[in-house]
Amino acid sequence: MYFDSMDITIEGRNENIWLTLAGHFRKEQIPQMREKFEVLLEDRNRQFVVDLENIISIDDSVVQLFLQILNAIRGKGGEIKLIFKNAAVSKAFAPYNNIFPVYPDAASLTSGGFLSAIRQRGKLLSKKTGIRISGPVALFLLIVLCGWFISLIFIVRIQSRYIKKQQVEVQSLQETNQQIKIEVDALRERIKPLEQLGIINISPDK
Amino acid sequence: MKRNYIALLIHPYKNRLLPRTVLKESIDRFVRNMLALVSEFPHFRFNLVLPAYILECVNPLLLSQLRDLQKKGYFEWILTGYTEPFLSLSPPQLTNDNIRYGLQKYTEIAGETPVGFMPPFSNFEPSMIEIIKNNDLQYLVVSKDLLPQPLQSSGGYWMAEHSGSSMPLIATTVIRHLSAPVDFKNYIEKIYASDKSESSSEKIATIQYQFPIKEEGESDPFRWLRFTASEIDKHILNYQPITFSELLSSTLPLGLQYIPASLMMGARDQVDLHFLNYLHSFDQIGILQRKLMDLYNKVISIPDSKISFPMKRKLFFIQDINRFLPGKECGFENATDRLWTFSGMIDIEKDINERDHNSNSGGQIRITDFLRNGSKSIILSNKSIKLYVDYSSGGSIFEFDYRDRRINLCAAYNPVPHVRPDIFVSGKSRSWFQDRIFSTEVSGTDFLSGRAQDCGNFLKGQFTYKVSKNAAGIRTSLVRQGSFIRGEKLCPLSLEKVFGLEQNTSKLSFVYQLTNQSLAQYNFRFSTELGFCLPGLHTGDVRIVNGSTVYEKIGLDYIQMTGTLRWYIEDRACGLRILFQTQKPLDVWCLPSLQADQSVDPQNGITIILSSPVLLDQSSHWKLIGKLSCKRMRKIAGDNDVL
Repeated sequence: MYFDSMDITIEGRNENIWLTLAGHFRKEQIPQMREKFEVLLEDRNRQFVVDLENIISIDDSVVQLFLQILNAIRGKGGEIKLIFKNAAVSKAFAPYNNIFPVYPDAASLTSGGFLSAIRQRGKLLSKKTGIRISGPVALFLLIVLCGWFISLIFIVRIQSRYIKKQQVEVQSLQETNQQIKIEVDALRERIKPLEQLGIINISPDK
Repeated sequence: MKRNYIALLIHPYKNRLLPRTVLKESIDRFVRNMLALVSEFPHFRFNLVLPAYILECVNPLLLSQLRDLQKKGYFEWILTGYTEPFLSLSPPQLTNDNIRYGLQKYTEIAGETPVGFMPPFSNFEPSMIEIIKNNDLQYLVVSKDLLPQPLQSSGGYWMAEHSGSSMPLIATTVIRHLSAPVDFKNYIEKIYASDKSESSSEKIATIQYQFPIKEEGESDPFRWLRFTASEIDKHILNYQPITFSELLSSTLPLGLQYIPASLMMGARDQVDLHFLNYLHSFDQIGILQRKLMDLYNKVISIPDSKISFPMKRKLFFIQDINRFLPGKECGFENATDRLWTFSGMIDIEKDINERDHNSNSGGQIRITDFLRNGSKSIILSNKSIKLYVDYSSGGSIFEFDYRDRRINLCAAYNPVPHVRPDIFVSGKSRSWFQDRIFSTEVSGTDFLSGRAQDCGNFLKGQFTYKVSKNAAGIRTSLVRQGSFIRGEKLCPLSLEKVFGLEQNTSKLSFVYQLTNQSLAQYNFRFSTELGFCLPGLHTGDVRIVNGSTVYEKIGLDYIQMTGTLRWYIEDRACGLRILFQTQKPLDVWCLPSLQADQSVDPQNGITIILSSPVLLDQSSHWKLIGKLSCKRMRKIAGDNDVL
């Protein structure tokens, strides 16, 4: 086949090999595509992303090629992800949607949930600060930090319980004090006639 | 008394690259002269064509006076675009953006939006009528030579029609300042007399006066203009000077015209309907155009217009028609112009690449129909280097961009045109790694004199390719099961060459492996040719250093180095050193590029031939591993700001 109607771009992004295909994917191009994957696998590449979004038309036999490539890559412990949402490619891959990891666009491929977001954030901070921490060390530090926080919360809770108890005691003492005061006042009122008669003298300076 | 019309179009042109300061001085001088002319001859009316970027350079005080004149109806602006786009070679949407931006700039600067459009070099494209109409332009101005011969004498304007869209088309008689008629009255009367049409009682002469914006030689282009203005003033009762809009509003069209895509390349040239075939029979122009189209596709894919628009603005200058026409003084044949165009495009590419952080890890391989000739090219790129390999014809590198210096080192030019309009012709076009097999006694001088005969079939042969990418970098491997002639026998020989880029370094590694699969012993000289284009070649700033030996006058003399392992070419003009290292000692022949008449012209670049005698026993290999590294050096001069 001399006239080749498909453009291929191969590049590395975030430890993945990205193959961007554009144009008409005809069955004549299957051998050369297989050969390209073989060479890339020989070069110890294991993570592949194939962007088929710009494929205009695709031959049905191309899907068989991708099944073979998927087996070959998985056999070597790798992974292949496909990106497309156009009608032509979607129709060709429809029976195998549960076999291939398919993503609608590149953005959805990178946004892989909370852990992935943390990983991305980690990479960003690592780039900014220049500090790189390995996974186990990060986990250990996380456990130490969590333990530290739990101990702190525990101490705070004990302290607050003790303070509450003391507050209750203070309140009850204050109430007793008030009652005693009232009782003293009542007794004073009672002995007031005796004091007026001069029988007893209870002046405060005595 | 019957008054005949004269519609004069004044066309100051800038065909060569000029430093910004020189351009400003030239345009100011032009405006001053025009102001003086109008104040001296108040009845003089004319049309003025200028690209908007030149108008931007006019002194604001002079510009305000020019605006006043225009408001009073002394003249009418005609647009070529923001720059002077090559309609037939540029992506139509880029030309549309160029025209739109030109109109916007005219409205801002001149306070008036032009209604007439003049395609530079009368480069009429029928499909452009729709685009021009969509930009609210009302008429086109071209050379009369585009019309069929019998109709060229008719004065007035036509209606050009294409696919249901029509537009008034004013065909002008082009005169140039060096050959402008001395007796204006007689000249104009001849024009009127030659017009035999009886469509109207008044005769119409549409004249386009072209002269360089920067004075050349001793001739004063304004002398003819002053003389013409005085003649019109003297015979104002016979001649009525008018603007093109007045012409359209006061006369009826002469009829319909179906004009094919055309281009007027020179004063004496006839209109050639196959001008694109002619242009593409030259070296380098096709690569320049393909690169422009490829780049434009990348620019329009940037969604943020704040980022893409400055790039588009640069592309407006790159699509300038003057850079895409052959010529010794200016155009793609001129090394300065050619490298300037490449440099602009490499600069934009570098900018796009730096913004696209994702594609930066270890390089990119693209397999695409870059040349748009039906066969794929392999494009290897990293942060520093981009190279284009044509595997289908000789497996050579036809473009090598060193991004840090914004230079295509592989832009050497062969002045001999191609027989067919092929963009790249292996063996003729100056590319890198063109492989030949010679008999053992061939020397560099034999090669220079054309006596050395290539016995192999690798130079133009088709290679099969493989591409690979790993942590170390990217590479392509090209293989051909070829042969060479020894005596009268055809000897099978396999050639494998590998080009690789290491991560983001500016190093190109190359490996050659020749395999003898026969049972006979082979003895021959293997050579590979590389054509370099360096800006310092014509200023004498290039030298070759091999150990303690320094060779000057590169590009003028033949140089030979024997058994060398490490040597370099240095260009002080652009601040660049190209270091060659090989594991085997090689003979290096440095040949000046010759003109068609066999004279030496450093503008065309230099040819470097790496060669080595090869002795191949039966079923054995011969291997050559080498590296070409580009390094930045201090420049003699800073970057120029030519436009």
